[in-house]
Amino acid sequence: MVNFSNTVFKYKSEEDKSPTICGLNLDVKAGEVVALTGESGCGKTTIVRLINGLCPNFYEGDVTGDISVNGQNPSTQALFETAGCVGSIFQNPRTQFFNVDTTSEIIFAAENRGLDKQEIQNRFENVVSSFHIQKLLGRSIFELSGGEKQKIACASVAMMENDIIVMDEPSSNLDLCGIEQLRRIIEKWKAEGKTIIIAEHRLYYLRDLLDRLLVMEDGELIRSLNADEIRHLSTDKVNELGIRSLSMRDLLKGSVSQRGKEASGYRISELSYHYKSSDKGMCVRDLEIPTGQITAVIGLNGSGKTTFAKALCGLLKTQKDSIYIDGRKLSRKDRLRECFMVMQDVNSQLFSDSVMGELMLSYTERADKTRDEKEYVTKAEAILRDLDLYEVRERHPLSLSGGQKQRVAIADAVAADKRLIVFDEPTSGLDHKHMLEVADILKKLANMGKAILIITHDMELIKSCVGRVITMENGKPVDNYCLQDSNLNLLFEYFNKVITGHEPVTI
Amino acid sequence: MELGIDRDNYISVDPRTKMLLLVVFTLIGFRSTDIWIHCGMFTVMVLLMINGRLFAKAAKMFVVFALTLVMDHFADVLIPGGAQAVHIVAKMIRLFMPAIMGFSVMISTVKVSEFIAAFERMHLPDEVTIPFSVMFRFFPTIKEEWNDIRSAMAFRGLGFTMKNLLLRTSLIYECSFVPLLADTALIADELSAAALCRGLGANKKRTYMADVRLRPVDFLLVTVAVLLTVFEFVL
Repeated sequence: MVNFSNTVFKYKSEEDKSPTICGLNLDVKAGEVVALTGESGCGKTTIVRLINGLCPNFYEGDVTGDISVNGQNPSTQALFETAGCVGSIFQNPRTQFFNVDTTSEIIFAAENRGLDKQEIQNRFENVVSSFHIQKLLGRSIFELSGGEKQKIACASVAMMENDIIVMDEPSSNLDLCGIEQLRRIIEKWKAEGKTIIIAEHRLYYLRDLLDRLLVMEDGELIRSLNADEIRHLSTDKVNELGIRSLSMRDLLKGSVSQRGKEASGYRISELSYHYKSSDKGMCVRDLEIPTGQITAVIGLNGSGKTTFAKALCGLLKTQKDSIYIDGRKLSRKDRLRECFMVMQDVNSQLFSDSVMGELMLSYTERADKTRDEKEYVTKAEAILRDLDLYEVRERHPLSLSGGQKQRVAIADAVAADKRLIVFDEPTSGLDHKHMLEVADILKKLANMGKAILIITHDMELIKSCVGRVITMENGKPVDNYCLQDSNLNLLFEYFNKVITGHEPVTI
Repeated sequence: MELGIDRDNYISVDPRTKMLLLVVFTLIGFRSTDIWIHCGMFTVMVLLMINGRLFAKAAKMFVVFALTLVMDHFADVLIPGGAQAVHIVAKMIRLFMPAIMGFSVMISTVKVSEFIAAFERMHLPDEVTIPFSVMFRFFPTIKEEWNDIRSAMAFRGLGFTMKNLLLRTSLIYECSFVPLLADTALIADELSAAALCRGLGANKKRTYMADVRLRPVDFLLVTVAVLLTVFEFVL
């Protein structure tokens, strides 16, 4: 169905570098479900783009060797022709919609193909009932959660009734519940005999669906595992391959590594916020965010995690807030000064034209202006060295890689002497190695005596660095415990509860 | 659920009519000093807002418009010295109202798919249709990005406070626009890639589920627009 023989691909923008794909040979048969994994930059996304034709028709570059998708070559035919047999799901649910309302988006591809009106109506009704998305119809995509958006994207692809479906890191922006729904959609498509190729870091949800798992490195396939091997892969082997865990059960067994020492921190005696436009909101009473420790806030989308974090940092004008540190009450403005939030989309928080400039921007905001600027530069350089950014200190922040940008934002927080740093999904879309790097940095920050709060769905990250877990539901913390070897099962129970307790997706 | 039915508006108004009203009313709005013409345009726009279920917005606009009338009425009596300044402010507000309201009606009551259909009915080529429809997809996107950027700036002591806006104007300006441009460029790229993979730009005939056509109400609105133009430019 999909065939690569001796394919080499090189992006036009990277002419001085080695090709992204070097001599790929791959044969995917009809009805197979194949996952491509490997470190960021290994070329898995490029393979997906070669199949749906975006490379080289949209992202320009040179292709040599043969590619055949359903008997056609997507590099030489027009994109809309390839769209007729390949459906694509992308990583970022925010940017894959052409329309603003869900209903139009679902039928968009079918309209483009010029299908008969009655046919579109029939397919639409089928898709809506089999995806259980009645409730999502006619809504603005800006009100939907990541999981809901991805469901609409899948529905839109299902309307096309294509035999081949490619996905580029589809789970990156989803919560556990969203990932489970995505899994069920893939399961349904597999049962319908569709050929599915997924580039992905997170693998646990695909384990029982995969016919083959391909591990890539520097543009080449280095390992190919069949269904049987995937199911019997030992934890050691997974670590050796440097890929993300294949089973949540295995992951949440064993021991947690050494954690930082908790010290008293931010005591929240009451914090509440209610949105004007909806009945949603958040209310937290008697909770402590310790310093010197990494605290994870978990919970589904809409459980109030982000609202809680924003309210804590002083971003929202809360109805009630009494928060203390060392017996001192903090006003909203105090908190804004003491806290920092590293956002998921870190692009929107880098303002300067060089990395060093970014840090100097923080200088102007420091409480102790007594020290002179020179001393501050020395200090900033030390921070950059610490975060492995010294070499790129003169570069434009937006020209850096995703991980580097994230570290620049962290450096800003350290330079501004922030005491509470909040991370919103710091490892979404990261491979195993980079996830561990982030975990190390978080530990380093905690050891500096900072209070670290992370909002995350990434169980592997939690296991590798988090010391305290707060679970939120309906705007309230329902669980709060210190993570230890003996209670790792609490996380697994939570995981199980989440993936079994929600409405069905497929027939 | 039957497709192609406009559920956002009580009565469907063709996007072309709304576009025409936006253009004509903006031109008249900037030129006209006649209070009755302004009242007429305001009434049409408020009705379109209510028709599109934008009740809160309609109420807000009503209050603003009423306020300008009140200002005009009482200025001479209450503050004889500063009456002229008050009249100018009132006039300035009224000047922009048709444009702002027309734009708001356009963005909030017309779907992207209805736009594409309307453009197609005018036999415009894809090269015109696609950029225009993407533009309308972009306004809410920019709003979302803008909120993120503002929060990020607040943590850096660059919040949109009076003090910052007055004393560090250029820094605030730079810090908000650099990430906004970078973000939108990236989004535009990903958005185009996704749209192409959904078969946009195929040179065969596209199906339009959106039921876009001229109805009696459109002729009524166009007549109103023509009458106002005649009053303003001819009489």
